[in-house]
Amino acid sequence: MEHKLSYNEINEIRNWLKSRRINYLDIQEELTDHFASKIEQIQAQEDHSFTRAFLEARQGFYPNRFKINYLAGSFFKNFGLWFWEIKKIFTTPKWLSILLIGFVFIALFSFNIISFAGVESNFPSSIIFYSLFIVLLAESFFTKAKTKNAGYITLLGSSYLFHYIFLFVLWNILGDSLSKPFELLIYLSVIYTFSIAWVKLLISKRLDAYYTLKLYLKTQ
Amino acid sequence: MATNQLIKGSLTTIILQLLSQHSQMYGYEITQKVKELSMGEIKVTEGALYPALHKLEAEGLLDTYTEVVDNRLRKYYKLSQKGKGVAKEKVNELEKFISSIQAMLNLKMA
Repeated sequence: MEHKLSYNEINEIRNWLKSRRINYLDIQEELTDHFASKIEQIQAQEDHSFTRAFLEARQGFYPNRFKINYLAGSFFKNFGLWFWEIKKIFTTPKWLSILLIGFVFIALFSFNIISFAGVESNFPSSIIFYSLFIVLLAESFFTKAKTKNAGYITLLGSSYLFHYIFLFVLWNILGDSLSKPFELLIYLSVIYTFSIAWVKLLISKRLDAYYTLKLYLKTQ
Repeated sequence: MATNQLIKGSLTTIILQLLSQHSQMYGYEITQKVKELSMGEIKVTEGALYPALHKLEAEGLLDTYTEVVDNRLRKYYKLSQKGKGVAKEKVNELEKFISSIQAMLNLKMA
């Protein structure tokens, strides 16, 4: 029967990687899984103790390779990743749909702030936002897809926040353009697309950090 | 056993080909599959595999997602739409290259 490693044993691998200065969280977690799988396989085949299997698993591992390739927490690294995310959006046809969703999203949420197509409206946009938020929150409690939904909730919340920040800034910069809501919506949709790339990056980092913390707390 | 230098140039193609045959794979699974298919001739090290995977991800050829499996995080890789096209191209490219090398070796032997 295949032996599965305990929380403490997994934590031992993680601490060993940290001691080898593998500080970048994504790499650290991926290598933890790699060595854990390797140890489990060794233990299943040769019935070794964890310590002996771990020593065997890490033979031929050169952490320097990872230090060179991944600059932990570097500003330029994060900035580069943001551009990769943006590049990913613009190299596939989905950028058009994201832009369109952004356009519709902002148009709906802006109804009570700007006059759309010359018609003043007091449409309660917050109702749409909170309804979506509650539906996603409820779904995350009743389904197994917590990671995905937590991502959507963060994305939705951040987009809403971004939306008001940008609207406030644009209100002050553009002034007269507010009387041309169509132009304003175009500006906001473009900014929204760039924001999505940034938020997507933050979500992936936050979720990984969240799960690492969760696993860490379970071991205490 | 094949040397690291021989594998180096074709590792990304090997990864893309494996992912085109499997809907999703994680790092250690890839190393084991390579070992199994090559009957132990090719061993992919952590230091070669993960930088290659992350480069392919950054180029938009791979999509990823993370799951909690057996008390730890596991990152799964799968081909993106763009990656599916590139995988075919790369495999064709490598096949042509291997035939050329084969032809050259046969020529020398004859």
